[in-house]
Amino acid sequence: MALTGRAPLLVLAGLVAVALQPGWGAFWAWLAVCAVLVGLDAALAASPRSVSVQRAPLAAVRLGEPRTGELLVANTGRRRVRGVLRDAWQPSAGARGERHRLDLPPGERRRLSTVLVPTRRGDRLADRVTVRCTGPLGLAARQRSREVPGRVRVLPPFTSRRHLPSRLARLRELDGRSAVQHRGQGTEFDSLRDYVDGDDVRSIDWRATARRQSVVVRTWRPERDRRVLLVLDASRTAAARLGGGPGGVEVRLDASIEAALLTAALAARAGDRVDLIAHDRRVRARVRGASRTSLLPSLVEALAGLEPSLVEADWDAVTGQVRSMARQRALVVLLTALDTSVLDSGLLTALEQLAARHTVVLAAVDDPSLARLARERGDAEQVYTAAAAETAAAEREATAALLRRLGVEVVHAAPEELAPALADRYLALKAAGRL
Amino acid sequence: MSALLEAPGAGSPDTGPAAVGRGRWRGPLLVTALVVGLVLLLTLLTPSTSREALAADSTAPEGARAVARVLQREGVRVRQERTFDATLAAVRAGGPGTTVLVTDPGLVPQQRWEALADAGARLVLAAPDGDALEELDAVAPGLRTTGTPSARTLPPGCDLAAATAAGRARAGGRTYAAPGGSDAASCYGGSYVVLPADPATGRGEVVLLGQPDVLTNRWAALEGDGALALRTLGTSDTVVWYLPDPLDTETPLVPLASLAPPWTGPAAALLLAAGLTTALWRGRRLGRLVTEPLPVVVRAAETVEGHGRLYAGARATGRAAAALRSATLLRLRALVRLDGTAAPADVADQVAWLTGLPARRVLALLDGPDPADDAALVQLAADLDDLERRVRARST
Repeated sequence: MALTGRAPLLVLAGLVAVALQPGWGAFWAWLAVCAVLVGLDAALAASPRSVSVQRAPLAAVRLGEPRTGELLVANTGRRRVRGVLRDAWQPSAGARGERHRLDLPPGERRRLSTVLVPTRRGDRLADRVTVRCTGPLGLAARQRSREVPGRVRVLPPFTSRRHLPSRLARLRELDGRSAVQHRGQGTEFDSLRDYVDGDDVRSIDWRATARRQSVVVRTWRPERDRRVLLVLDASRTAAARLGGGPGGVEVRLDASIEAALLTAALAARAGDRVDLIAHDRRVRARVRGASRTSLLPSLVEALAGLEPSLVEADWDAVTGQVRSMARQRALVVLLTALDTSVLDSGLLTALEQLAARHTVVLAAVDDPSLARLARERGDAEQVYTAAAAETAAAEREATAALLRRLGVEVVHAAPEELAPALADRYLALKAAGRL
Repeated sequence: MSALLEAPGAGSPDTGPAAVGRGRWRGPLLVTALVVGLVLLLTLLTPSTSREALAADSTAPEGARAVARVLQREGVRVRQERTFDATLAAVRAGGPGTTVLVTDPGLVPQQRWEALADAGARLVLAAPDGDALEELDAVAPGLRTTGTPSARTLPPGCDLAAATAAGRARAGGRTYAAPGGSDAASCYGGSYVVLPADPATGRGEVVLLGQPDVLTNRWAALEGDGALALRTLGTSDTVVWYLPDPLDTETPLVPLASLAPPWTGPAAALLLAAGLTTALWRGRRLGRLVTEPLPVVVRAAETVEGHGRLYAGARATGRAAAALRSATLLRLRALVRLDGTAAPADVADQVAWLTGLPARRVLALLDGPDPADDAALVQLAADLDDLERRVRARST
C-alpha cells in the first residue's frame, strides 16, 4: 500500500467543503470520503503479484563501459497494470534510469532496459525489483518487492592495452635480429641470410658461406615457450589508495592488475606460457596452463572479483606455490610494493630463494603523492613532511639497491607508468635471453 | 571499543551488536540524568525571594523584605497576596482595621476599593497618582495630588503620633491635599497624608504614602524611614501586602477562538491532515535502500604524513635537514654526472663551477651545520630547491 501525490491534493480539496459548511462535521465527513476513496482505489489496483518479472543474464563488461540490463515484464492478471517498476542495483553498478513506467494490458509483455555503467571492479549484484501498481483513480497504489537475482561481472579496464601495439612492434624487431648482441643459451637458431655491413663477423656461418658465393650469417630469434609466472600481492599493501590524478588508478592492486595484464598479453604474443597467482595469506586467484588465445579472458575473469584484504602477505607460502607451479627456470614477476615493511615480512628470504632458481622481477607501484609531498615546502610543517617523504624515497632506493644486489630486477614507477615499464623490462630480459 | 581493535572477523560476531546496543543508550541517559540533576540543584539553591519592587519577599534595594521581617518579628502577621480575591479574603479573616498595603494603586478599580472599604480595611497606598485617586473617590472623596517634588529628607511638620515618633524621614515623591473640612493630617510637606476612619460608612483609615522609599530595603535603615514604615503598617495584627496584578481582572478574558471565523479550526486540521498524507506519500520508498559492499582501502601516504608530524612535534630540524640535503645531493650527483659515491665537497665544486656560485656557500648548503629553528629549516629547504633549479637550468 502506498499513496500518490494526488492523495494530499484530495485532502486539501476538503478546504472547499469546510468553507461552505463550517464546522467539524464537514471536516470529519471529508476525511471519511478521502479514506473511502483511497481504500477503494487501492482495492481496485492490479495486484503486483500478477506482474511476472524475468531477468536476462548479463555478459561481463569492462570497467567504465556501459551494459544494458533487460527485464522481461509480463502481466499475468486480469486487470490492467499501471504504475512504476524499479530495478534496483548496488550503487557501484551505476544503474541509470532504473525506474520504469508500467502500462500493461492483461496478458501483454514488455522489455524494460536499465543501463549499467559500473564504477567498480568485481561482481555487481542486482537488488530487489519493486512493482508499484496504481489504482484507477491514481490515489493509492499497491507495492511489492521481490528478489530477481541478477549479476554483472565487471572486468578490470585494462587501459594499459594502449601500450600493447608499440611493445608488440618492438617484439617483432627482436625476431630475426642478428644474434651478435645476444648469443647465449637462451637464443635459438632462426635462419641464414646474406651478410650486410655491420653484422658481427663472429656470426658468419662459414660452412654455409663455403657452399655459396656470398657471405652468409646466421640469425637468431628470441627463445620461445618460456614460462612466465605473475605473482600478484593482494595483501594489506595492495589496499593502499594512491594519490593518482582524476580518473587515474586509485588502489595499488588496480595498478598491479594493469601491469600484470599488459605483461601477460605481451608474453602470450611472444610465445611464452603465462601463469598467474594472486595471494595474501593464501592463494586468492590462480590461472594455470591457459592456452595463448584463452589467456587474457581467463586472466580478467580471475582478477575481476579480486579485492585486497587487510592481512599481511605470507611470502613463504608464495615461495611454495611458485616452486610447485614452476618446476623449470621461469621468469617470476612479483607485483607488490617497494616498502621496508614488506621486506620485514619475509619477502627478502623469499626473493633470495626464488632468485636462486628463477629470474625474478619485482614490480612495485609507487605512490605519486609521495613525490608531491616531497615537493611542497611552503611552511615548517610542509618541510618536515617533505623531509619524511624524502626519507621514505631514500629508504625505497636503498631497498631497491639491496634487491638488485640479490640479483632481483626491480621496476618501480607511478601507477600509470608501471605497466609500460614492466613490459619494457620484460622485452629487455627477453632480448638478453635471460628468460 | 574492543570491537574496533580486533581484526575483522577475529572477534565473536554475536556479542558485538549487543554491546553496541547497550552502549547506544548510555549517552542519552547520562545527558538526561545530568540535566535533571542540574535542574534539581538550581531549584534547591534558588532562594524563595524575589527581586520585585516593594514586595514583602524582595531582597532587591527596591524590595521591602526588611520592613516585612521586622513586622513579623514584632508579632504582626504579614501576608503577601497577588489576587484581589485572596486579599479580600485575608482582610475578612483579619477583621476590620486590617492594614492593606497596595503597592500599585493604579491597577485597582473603583469597585475593588469599595469592596475593601466595606470590609473595613485600613488602606496604605504607595504613591497613588491622580487617576488612582479618582478611582478611590467613591471611598475617600476629595483627595488630589498637588505635585511631584524631588525626594529629600524632611521633618514631620505635623503632630501625628507616627510621624513625630519617627522624626526626620525621606519625603517628596508625590504630595497630596485632603479636601477642606476633613480632619486629615498632612505630614512631611504633604507626602504623607492620613485620612482618619469614617465610622459613618465603616471605612477604615486611608494613608497616602507619597514616598514609598521609606518601605524599601535601601532606605528603611536611614533616618526615621524605618520607624515611619513600621508605625504606618504595624497598627493591626495582620498586614496584607497586596501586589496588584494587571491580569487579575474581574471580567474574564475573551477566548481567542471566538475571534476567529468558525472554519479556522477544521481548515487547520485539514491542512495538518494534508501534511500527514504528504508525509505518507513521500515516506514510502519504491523498494529498500541498497547497500554497497565497500572494499578496504588504506591511504598510502598516511605513514609519511605521520612521520612528518612526528618530526614537527619533536622539532627535529637536524634530521629533517639531513634528509632534505641527502635527497638534493642524490639528484645533484646525477645532474652533474658524478657517481653515487662522490663526496659532497666534489659535488659542491662541480655545482659551483656550473652555476658560478661560490663553492663555499654551496658546500655550506649541502653539508653545513643543522638549522637552529623552523624558520632556518624552511629557508634551507628553499635554498636547496633554488640550487637544484639553477643546476637544472644550466645542465640542460
